[in-house]
Amino acid sequence: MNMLLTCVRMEWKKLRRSRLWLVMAAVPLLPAFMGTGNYLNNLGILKSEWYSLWTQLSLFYANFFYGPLIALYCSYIWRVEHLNHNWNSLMTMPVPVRNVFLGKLFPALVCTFLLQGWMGVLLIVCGKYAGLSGMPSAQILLWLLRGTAGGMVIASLQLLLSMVIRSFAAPIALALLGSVVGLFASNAGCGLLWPYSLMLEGMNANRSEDMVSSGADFAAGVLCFLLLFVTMGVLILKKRDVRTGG
Amino acid sequence: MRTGAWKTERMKLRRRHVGLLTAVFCGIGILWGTWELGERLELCGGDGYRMLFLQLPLIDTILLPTMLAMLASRLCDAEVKGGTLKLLCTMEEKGRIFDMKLLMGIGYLCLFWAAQAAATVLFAVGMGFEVSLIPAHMLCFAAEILFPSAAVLILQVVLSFFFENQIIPLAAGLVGSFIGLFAWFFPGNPLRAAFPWGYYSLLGFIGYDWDPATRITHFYDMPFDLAMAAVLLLATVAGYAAGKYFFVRKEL
Repeated sequence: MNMLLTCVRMEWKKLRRSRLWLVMAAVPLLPAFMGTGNYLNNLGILKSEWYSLWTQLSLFYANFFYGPLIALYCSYIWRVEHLNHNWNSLMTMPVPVRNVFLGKLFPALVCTFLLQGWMGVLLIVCGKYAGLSGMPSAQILLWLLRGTAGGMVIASLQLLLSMVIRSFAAPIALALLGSVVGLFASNAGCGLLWPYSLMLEGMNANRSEDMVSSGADFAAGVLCFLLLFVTMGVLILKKRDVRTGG
Repeated sequence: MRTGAWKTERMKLRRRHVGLLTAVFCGIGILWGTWELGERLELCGGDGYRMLFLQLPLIDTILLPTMLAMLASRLCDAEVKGGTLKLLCTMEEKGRIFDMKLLMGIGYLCLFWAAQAAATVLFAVGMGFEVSLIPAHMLCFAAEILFPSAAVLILQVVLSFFFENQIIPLAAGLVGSFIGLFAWFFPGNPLRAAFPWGYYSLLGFIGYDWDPATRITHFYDMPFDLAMAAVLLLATVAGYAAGKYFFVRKEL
């Protein structure tokens, strides 16, 4: 446990002065402001107050932008290791490889939590700006939490991809493409079988009826994918020889 | 000399999978645009060309800014990640390196557009669109995709050269996708013209009326905004000149 904590601390140190927080804070502002603008322009159609505003804020964020955003973060987390001969240093550290992977997963999960929290704050601020009374319902909070669980799956997958792919940009492209495919998977009713669909299903983006028919199935999907990607990440680190340089 | 510079750029991109990634983006865009095409064709009276000329630019607004950010990042990898710019500049004119990067990127961009245009025509033949193609539409489609994308590419190449940490250019690509996408939802907003990504919607030339009762969509032509295209071209030329100026004077 101590070793894991050391790995986590080390990862935080590597992320210092990366200005990632700025990107993470700025990108959700766009769907928030623009979603609110769209809501205010369509008050004649969007009559469910907080629910309608939620659909406008979450639609594009969950569908297309969370994936590439967390991919950017994960690529940055692995960037240091892909430079020079740092893979050698990393793999010769006296810590189990599972701690290396979990140590990197932790900041990605924290980032997902913070992003979702930030979306919650933005929803309230935008709702008040739009003149909505009261506060968002507990159901919206539940959707936010479910979205966080779905987001954790995407984060673990992106961390795995960024570990395997040495390019900084390619995993981000894959995240965007995966998110687009996720939209189709969700529309085809097999969203629980595609990791990139889990967040938009969890957040109930742009739907009046709940997209998740069974909470147990959703939880099972999240756990299975999370376990799969973490196990794959640890196994690849354990078994595969490292490639260094350039 | 120019052939040599071109060849050098191509050699730098060997095994970078840039063509593959462009093809994947293009393929996903086409699949997305033509999803359930048959069903939608019935609801628009077989006016498939207009439907696709509205649909594809909207999809490209989401995909292209990220793809261009990635493309620019890959194009500049050899110099930025490899730290070879100083060495290269002892053998080659700095301005020419900048130009070759742009030309290479524009080449991929043209292939991207050509594949989309070809897919549109192939689908028209395969599905038997009832309304035939108006050649001017194809020209407008080219301008709608290529003009803003060229401006975005210049911006991304400049960002990729100036930031060793590629997080900034790629974040700019993501933000651009957002701005471009939302520009479609605010048709009257003059702010759209302030961002290169906003021109994907500003240069749109197809409009539509949707009847919620019958679910039938009627597409119609809108005048191509030549003034906005001219503004964009001027801004692109200015952006190119400024980008090259700063790149040439960049401290290595």
